[in-house]
Amino acid sequence: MESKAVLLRRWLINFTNRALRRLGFFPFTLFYVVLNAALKVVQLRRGHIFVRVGEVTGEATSLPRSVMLWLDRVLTGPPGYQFDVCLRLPREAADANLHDVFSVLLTSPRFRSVGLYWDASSLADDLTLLQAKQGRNNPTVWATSYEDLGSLSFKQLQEFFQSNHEGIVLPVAVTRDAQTLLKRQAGGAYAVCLNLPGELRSLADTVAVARPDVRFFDLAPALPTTKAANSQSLYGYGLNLHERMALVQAADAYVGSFDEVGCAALVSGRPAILLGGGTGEQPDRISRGEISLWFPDPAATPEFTESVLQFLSRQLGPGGNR
Amino acid sequence: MNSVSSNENSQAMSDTQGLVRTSSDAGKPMIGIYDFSYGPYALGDALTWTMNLNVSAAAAGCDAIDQYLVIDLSRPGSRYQPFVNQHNYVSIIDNLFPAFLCSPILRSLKLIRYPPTFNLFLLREVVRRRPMWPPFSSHLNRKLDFISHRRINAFYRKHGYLPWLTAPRGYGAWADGFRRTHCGGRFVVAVNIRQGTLSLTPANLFRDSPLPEWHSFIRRAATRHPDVLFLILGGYTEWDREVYCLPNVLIPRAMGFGLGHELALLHRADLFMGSSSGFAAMATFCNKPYVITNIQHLFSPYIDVPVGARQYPFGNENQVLYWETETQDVLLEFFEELHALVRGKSAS
Repeated sequence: MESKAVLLRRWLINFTNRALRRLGFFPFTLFYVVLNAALKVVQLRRGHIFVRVGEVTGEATSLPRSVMLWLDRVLTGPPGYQFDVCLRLPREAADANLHDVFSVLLTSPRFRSVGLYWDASSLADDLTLLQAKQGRNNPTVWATSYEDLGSLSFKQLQEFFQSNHEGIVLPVAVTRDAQTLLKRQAGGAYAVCLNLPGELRSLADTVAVARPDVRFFDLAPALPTTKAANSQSLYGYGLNLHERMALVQAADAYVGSFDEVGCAALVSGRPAILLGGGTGEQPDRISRGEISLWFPDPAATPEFTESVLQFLSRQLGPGGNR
Repeated sequence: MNSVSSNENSQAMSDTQGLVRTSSDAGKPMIGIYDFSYGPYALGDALTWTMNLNVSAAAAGCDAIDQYLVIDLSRPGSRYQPFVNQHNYVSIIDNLFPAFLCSPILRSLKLIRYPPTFNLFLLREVVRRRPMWPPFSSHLNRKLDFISHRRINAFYRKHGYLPWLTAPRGYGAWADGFRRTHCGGRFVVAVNIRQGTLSLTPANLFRDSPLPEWHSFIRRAATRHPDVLFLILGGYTEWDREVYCLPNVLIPRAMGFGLGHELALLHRADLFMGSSSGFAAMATFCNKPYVITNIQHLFSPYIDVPVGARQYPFGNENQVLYWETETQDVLLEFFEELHALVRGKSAS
């Protein structure tokens, strides 16, 4: 229970802040800057600051997914905790996906600021204003908050697959548009998002033929190959990452790569079959309750196809309209 | 393919012209502040701001740029854009983000939506006497000159060159690959036809260009110059369906790409043609050959160019300003003139 003095002080600060913000000219803006900077200094001294630092070394080929897993892991804590997130990036990137990385960062409900750095000294300099004093002096805190995002291990994927998630927040208009698209295209039928890797493209045709009662929406970045009437390629729709994530969250199930879109399906609790991410030494399938199934190293075999169809039957029913 | 490789070589040189790229971690930084409570969410304004940063950095002898994008959640948009609110600003900044990656000496970019954090950083930079754009005094008065070319022209007059923008960080090599894969050594023209009526946030519709004239121009140009490929740039809603039926056309957005890819493709294109708008600002500030049409006359004092003049003060013979509404004949005439000039230069 906070004392009256604390509540009064907080009210006074908020009131002053609001008043100064309305008076948007000098010298009130200077008072506003100084007051806010002082607030931040107090927070730093009290340790009410949480910063997470990720570093990308070498050529990270699926950085948006790595960042998504990392945020899910490190931005945790009691409700209301907010974080400053810093990413140290290589100047020469392996893929042109920095925009997707930024989009992933924006989906976190807990970020307060995001910093992208192409220079180690600049990052170190800024951390002195982001990290609480005891954090700077405590190597344990530092060690746990600084992570290499350059490579993603099977173990990290498995932990993400099995853990509970706080969820992501997408812009309301994006969510609305995804639901509208599915309403218009699928009506009352089940809607399943496909996002199959190239070597498993034939599965798109097979499941579409086997489940004529379901509308399939293909997100894969490749030209459409299926001619089934109940399957529709969204490749040419020009959807950005938020829009693709919203679509898999609005659909009834997801079958596709364990990439950032697959992660979005998983964190939103949609029935999902995730494909890839293994090295050939893992079990051929890993399940999480009834709702998620992961094939780390899938091959286009009849058994695999049958597994996918069985999963869809379990989640959506054996066939016919719902 | 010769033209492509020569284009790549020239880009590599122009990427750092006038600016010292930081190769080590040391650097004297220029501070850029884009506070959306008084600065608009707009492609052209973001690019003009970045160009002002480049110019200010070069003038101050800085070899790095630290950018601060500031969003105050209680006031996420400026008075120019009252439709921006807490529920849609994320989409808007997400769509605009690649525009802030176009400085070749960008060292860090921070998006801060918590005022105490930003203001502590700001005070630190002020105490360190770091050069800033906008200047600290302007920021305190919530003023940002996001339109005029006053500083840019002054720098050019004094030094005889400009520190140009480059492809967004991380997208240049991708654009080179795209040209190799999809353009096959053809003469690439990046095209943006302003269509505010089709955009998600319609504004200033009087600045829109006549679509039928552009479509006819592309048809005629493709017939007369089959070696030309047109890249249609702009948001997914902003081009007309008829574009799909035009010859020699690729639409990057319909291929799954976004603004970062488009800006990089524009940077690597042989020529830009389009209405006075955001993409035209990119062409202007990355020193491409261009034709910019339908320039508003009221823009003249801001850019210090008399109405009707053919070039910016820093422009050359390949960089044409056209102040009237374009017709297909005008477009074809300019295209053929610049096509010959650019082809001639790359051959020589």
